[in-house]
Amino acid sequence: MGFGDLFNFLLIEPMTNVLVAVAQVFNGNFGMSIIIFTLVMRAITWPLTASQYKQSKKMQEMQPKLQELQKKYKGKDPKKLQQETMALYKEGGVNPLGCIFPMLVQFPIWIALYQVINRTLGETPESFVGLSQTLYPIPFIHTAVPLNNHFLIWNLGQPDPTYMLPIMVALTMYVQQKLITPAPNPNATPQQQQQAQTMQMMTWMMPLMFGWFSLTVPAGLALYWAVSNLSGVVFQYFYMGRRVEWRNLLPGMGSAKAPAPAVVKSAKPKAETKAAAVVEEASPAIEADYTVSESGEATAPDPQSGRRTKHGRRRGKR
Amino acid sequence: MAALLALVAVACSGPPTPIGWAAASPVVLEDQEIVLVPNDGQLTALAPTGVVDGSGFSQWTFPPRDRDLYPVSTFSADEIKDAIDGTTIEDGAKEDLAVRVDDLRVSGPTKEALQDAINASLMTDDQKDSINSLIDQVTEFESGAVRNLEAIYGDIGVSADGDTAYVASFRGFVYALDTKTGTTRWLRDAQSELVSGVAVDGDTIYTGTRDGQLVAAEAADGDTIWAIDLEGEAWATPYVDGDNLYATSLDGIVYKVNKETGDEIWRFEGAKSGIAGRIGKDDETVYIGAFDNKLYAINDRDGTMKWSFEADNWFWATPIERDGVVYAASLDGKMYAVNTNDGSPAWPSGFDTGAPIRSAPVFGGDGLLVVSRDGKLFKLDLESGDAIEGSPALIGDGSTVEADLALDENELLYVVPRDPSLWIFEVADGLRSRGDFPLP
Repeated sequence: MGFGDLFNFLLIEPMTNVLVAVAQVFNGNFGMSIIIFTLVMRAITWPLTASQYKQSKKMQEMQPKLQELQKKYKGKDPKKLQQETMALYKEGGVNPLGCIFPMLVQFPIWIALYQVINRTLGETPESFVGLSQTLYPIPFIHTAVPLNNHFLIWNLGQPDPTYMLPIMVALTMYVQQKLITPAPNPNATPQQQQQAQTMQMMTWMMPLMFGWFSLTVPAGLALYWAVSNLSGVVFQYFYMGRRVEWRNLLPGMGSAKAPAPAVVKSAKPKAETKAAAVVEEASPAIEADYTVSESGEATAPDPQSGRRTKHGRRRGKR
Repeated sequence: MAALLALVAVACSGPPTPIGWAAASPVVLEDQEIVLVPNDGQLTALAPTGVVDGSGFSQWTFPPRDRDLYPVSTFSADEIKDAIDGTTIEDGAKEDLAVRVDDLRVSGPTKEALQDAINASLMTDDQKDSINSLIDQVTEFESGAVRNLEAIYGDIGVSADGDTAYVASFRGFVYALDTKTGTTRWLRDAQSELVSGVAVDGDTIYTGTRDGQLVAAEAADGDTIWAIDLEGEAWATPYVDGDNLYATSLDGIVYKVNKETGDEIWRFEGAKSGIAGRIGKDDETVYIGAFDNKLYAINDRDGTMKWSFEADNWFWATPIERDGVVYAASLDGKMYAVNTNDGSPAWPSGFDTGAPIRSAPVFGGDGLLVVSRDGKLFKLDLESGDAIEGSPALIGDGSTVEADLALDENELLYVVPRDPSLWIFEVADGLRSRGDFPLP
């Protein structure tokens, strides 16, 4: 069995049958099936998302030690620097690639969903013949064909000609990225500033890229992305204890109001684990600078003093 | 970065491309025989004598390689000539312009030459504008239609005299082609993708559309006579029998309508899933396979169900009947024989070809010919269902075959795989290959 057959057997066939079965429950409505599938996938990958955040936080907490190592060995003994860095990671229980894993998990799902939509919605007769060989011999599933490929105003098997879904994908992804991306800190080291700039650029690049992809792929896949992003924003909103800095969504607003710290020095890692879960898998490289105290208040560092100031709760009390 | 690369790969791969699976269509003309072979968005006319003796004489291809040089349709050329005739210029000038119209191509310099000649004529400015506008419309539409044949799935309809072939393209155009030359007599935009082929009955042609219409049109010029809305997409070529027309829709309904008016006589809604195939029929019964894995026998009189027969996967191919037995192929890979009186199996079990069967079978040489999707051609004994010696014959190296089989009056069987080739077998006695012919 080759890789293609394995991918087909392990992912495409089960996904096809699940999506068709759910669609059958909703009277053949494939759009509802995609939405439910997306939410379920969100729930299933939630532990990975939380784990990703924890890894990010641990990496963040190690920054002072890493900087010390860099000062000590940089330019003198690169090999020793690498060894000491890896030892530090090991000691802290950090896998440097741990942040990437949740993202990697999503790729095969996207690709499989793309294949499933192409097969299931029968835009070409050949794909229908292929579908006949993919469906499990369960009457409830086998009799579901043909499925309704229309959902609201979209033909889910074709790219969205109205541009509404691509715009939704780009917007929701931008909101999601922006909510978890710390504003640049003017006091940061050049290296951190460069990293922050890259992160800021990603908040624009990723939505634009996904918006463009959504123009070319079937609307069903764009619907998956839009719902996934939207649910991510909603989950994040509630995980943040409804204390989201919405002002950060506007370009240029975040930096003056909520700058990121050069280094996060948290004495209460346990209290931060809840906030850890708010980071989304769509941006594994992003390290959130928000921490949440035991009282539930979100804090960010003051740009001048480096001390943390409260956000959200103060306004909420008024 | 890996994510972006993966997505770029997905995005750039695009949606699946329609390939088409229309069957070959043998045509008898006054002085010669040709076989129309659709493959990969192109229709090729071959002379069977040339094919059989190995010379493989190709008559014409549609669309031709140089699509700019393709002449405008006869219908459009006549329309332009009529418009010129209606002007006040001298007869000699009209004839000169008519010659230029005969040379008009769908694009290229002939159009400018014609329009320059019109502008230099003594027509009124309004007449010039009107005719030039007509020329622009005709060339723009036909240029697009000739460039966008894309794929052919449905049966090619042929007029009784063999003079005209009617082709429905997936992109949504219907072409009436001169079978001798391959030039278009007329072409129409159906405003919908077409999986269905074209059925011809005298002066009328019938087709179904993906937006759910059953359409009757004039064979002479493609003008719509009537059109009715079906409940779902029409993928199967309509079937004409006497005064009636039978159609199916992808939402699982069989329709019997009056072929003259389109008035519904009955509809059968017993299938629990979609129907994409064309009906088969004998005197009293309509046979149709569905995506609920069942073959249905329907009373032709009133549309009620007589019986159903269940397989392990969908039925798509058109069932055929002979001597009280209906033969139906399933995507479960088996060929079934079912008694028409009660739906009981006529063979102990279905004949297993080992791969799904999309292609409709045919009777030939006192046997049943069936081809599986993995390119194995079988000839089966009608009584026992056993494979006759020489089966299976391989179509290439396991080429995908989804086109219906076609048999001519000389018991030559034509098989069109996805690969650009035509395979020919003699089936009168056994099953003997006459070789394969690569398409241009």
